Amino acid sequence: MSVLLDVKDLKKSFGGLWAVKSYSLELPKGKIYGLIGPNGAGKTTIFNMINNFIKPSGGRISFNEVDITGKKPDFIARLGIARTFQNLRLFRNLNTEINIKIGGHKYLKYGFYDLITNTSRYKKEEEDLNKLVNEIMNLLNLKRYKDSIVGSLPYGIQKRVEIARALVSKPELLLMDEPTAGMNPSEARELEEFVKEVKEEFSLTILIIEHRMPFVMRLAEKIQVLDHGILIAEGIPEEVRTNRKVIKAYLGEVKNLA
Amino acid sequence: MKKDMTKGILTIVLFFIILWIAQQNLNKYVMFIIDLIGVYMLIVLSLNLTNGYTGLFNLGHAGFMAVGAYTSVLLTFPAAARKFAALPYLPPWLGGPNYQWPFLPALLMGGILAALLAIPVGLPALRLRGHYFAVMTLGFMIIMETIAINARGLTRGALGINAIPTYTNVFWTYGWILIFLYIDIMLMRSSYGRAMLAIREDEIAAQAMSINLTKYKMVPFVLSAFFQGIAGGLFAHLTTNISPYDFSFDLTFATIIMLIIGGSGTMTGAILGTSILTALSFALKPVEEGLRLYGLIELIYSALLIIVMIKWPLGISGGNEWTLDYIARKLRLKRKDTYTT
Repeated sequence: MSVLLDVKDLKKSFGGLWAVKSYSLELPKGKIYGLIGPNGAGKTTIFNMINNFIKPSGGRISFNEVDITGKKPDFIARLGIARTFQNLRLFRNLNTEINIKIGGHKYLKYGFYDLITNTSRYKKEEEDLNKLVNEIMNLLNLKRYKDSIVGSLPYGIQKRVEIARALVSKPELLLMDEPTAGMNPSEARELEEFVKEVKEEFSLTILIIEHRMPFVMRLAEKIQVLDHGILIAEGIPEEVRTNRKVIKAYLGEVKNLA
Repeated sequence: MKKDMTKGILTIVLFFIILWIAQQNLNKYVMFIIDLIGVYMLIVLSLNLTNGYTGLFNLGHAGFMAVGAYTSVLLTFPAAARKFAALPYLPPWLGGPNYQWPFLPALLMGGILAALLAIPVGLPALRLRGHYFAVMTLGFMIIMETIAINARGLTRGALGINAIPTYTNVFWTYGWILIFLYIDIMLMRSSYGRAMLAIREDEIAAQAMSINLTKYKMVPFVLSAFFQGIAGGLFAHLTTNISPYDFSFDLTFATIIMLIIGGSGTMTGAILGTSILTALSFALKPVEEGLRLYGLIELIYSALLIIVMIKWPLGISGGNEWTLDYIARKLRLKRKDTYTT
C-alpha cells in the first residue's frame, strides 16, 4: 500500500510559542485517519500547514511523493487535496450551484479567448462541469437548494454544500476539519454514513479532525492524539481510548484529594 | 438560446436607432450630457469589474483614464496646430511630424498603454487587501496626476491641452459600452467570473479551490484599466480640453459614488447609478448657479450616498441584474401582494 500523504517532523512556532512541535504522519491510500486533541492542541494548524495557508517552521510534507512544503495553496489544491473548514468558509452571497461549480475550478482550463469567442472547447468544458455538479447535487440531495443563496441556508445544509464543493474537484485526499461541529447526534450519524459512502464512491483518502469521539472512533482506522503540539498517542481507536496519557490530556490527572 | 440572441440584437438595433433620432433632433447641450453619461458609464462599468465582482476597492481608475486621454490626444492632435499649441510632433516611428492618427487606433493605443501600465501597478498592489489596496491605488492616481502636471513637454502641465478635435459622439461611447457589456457578460458566465466572485467572498477558500489569486485579480484589474483608458480617450475628445486636474479626486470619488449608489457587483447598478447621478448633476446646475450655492451638487451626492446606504445597503439595483425576466417576476409578485392584502 502506497503512502499518499507523508508528513515528517512538521513544526510551527508563533513567536516563542510552539503550536506544533514535531508532527509526523504516514497516511496510506484509501484510509480514514482521525486527528484528535483538546482545544488549542494545534490540529487546525497542521491542516493549514498542509494547505500552506500557514508556512511551516520546519519539516517536510509530500503528497503522492511530490514535495509540497511551501508551495502555493492553489497549486497544492490542484494536485488533489481538498478540504472543508471548521467554521464554514462558503461563498456566502452566491447560490449553491455556483458555490459547487467553483469547487470544480481546476477542470476548466480554457483561456480568455475561448470564453469571449464562445469556442467549442469552452462549451464542452462547461458542460462537463455542469454534469458533474448535477451528479454531486443529486448525491447530496442539494438539488432543491440549487438557486438559494448559501448564506441563508440552514447550517446543516451549508455543511453539505461545503462537502459537495470539496468533492466536485474529485480530490484524492480530503481534509475535514470538525465536520460534525454544530450538528445534533442524529445528524452526525447521518454524516458518518455519508462519509463512508462517498469514500467508496470517490475512492477517497480522508483525514478528519474531530471532537465528537463516537463519530471519529467509528470512522477512523487509526487515530492520532495531539496535545500542546506534540503527538501523545497513536493507534487504532481501542488503544487510544484506553491510553492513560490521552485520558489525562482530556480530563486532567486524578490528584490525591485527601 | 437562438430566440434570446435575436431578441438581444433587436434591442440593440432599436437602441441605436433611438440614439440616431436623438442625435438628429436634440440640441448639442443635451447630446453632450448623453455622451458624458456614456463615458462615465464606461468608467463605472469597468470599475465594477474590480470593485464590484472581485472585491478589490480600486481608486486608481482616474490614473488609467489620464493615460488613455493623453495618449489618444497626443496621437490625434492636428499636425498643423501642434506648434501653436506647444505640443511635440510625433516621432518618426509613430508616423512622423506631419502625421495625425485616426481616432480608433489612437483610442485603442490609449487603452493598451493603460492596460500595460496596470500590470506593474497591479503586481505589488494586488498582494494587498481591503483598505491597503485602496490606499495604494489612490497613491497611483496621485502619482499619475503629478506626472501629468510636471511632464510639461508632453502634457503642457497644469495649463492643460485645449482645442482637442471633437470625435466622440453617442455611437462611439455607446458602441464601446456595448463591447464592454458583451465581454462582461461572457466573463461572468465563465470560470473567470466565478473565480473573481470567489475571491471577493473568501480569498482563503478560493485558494483551497485551486484558484490562483494573482491571475484572477490581475485579469479584472488589467481589463478594467484597458476600458478606463478607452474612456479617458473618449472623455478628452468629448470635452475638447483636458488638464491633469480632470483626472483627480473629484472624478475618482464621483464615479465611486455612482457605482455604490447604483449597486456595486451588478451591471444594472453601474448603469443606473451613472445615469441618475450624472443627469441629476446637470439638472441641479441651474439651481446651484441661481442660488449661488456652489458645492450643492456634491452635498446632494453625499446625502444621497448616506440615504442609499441606510435604505438599500446593496444599492438601487439591490444586488440583482434587472433583466426583463427579473422585472416581470417582480411585477407579478407585486400584483400578488395586492391581491392577498
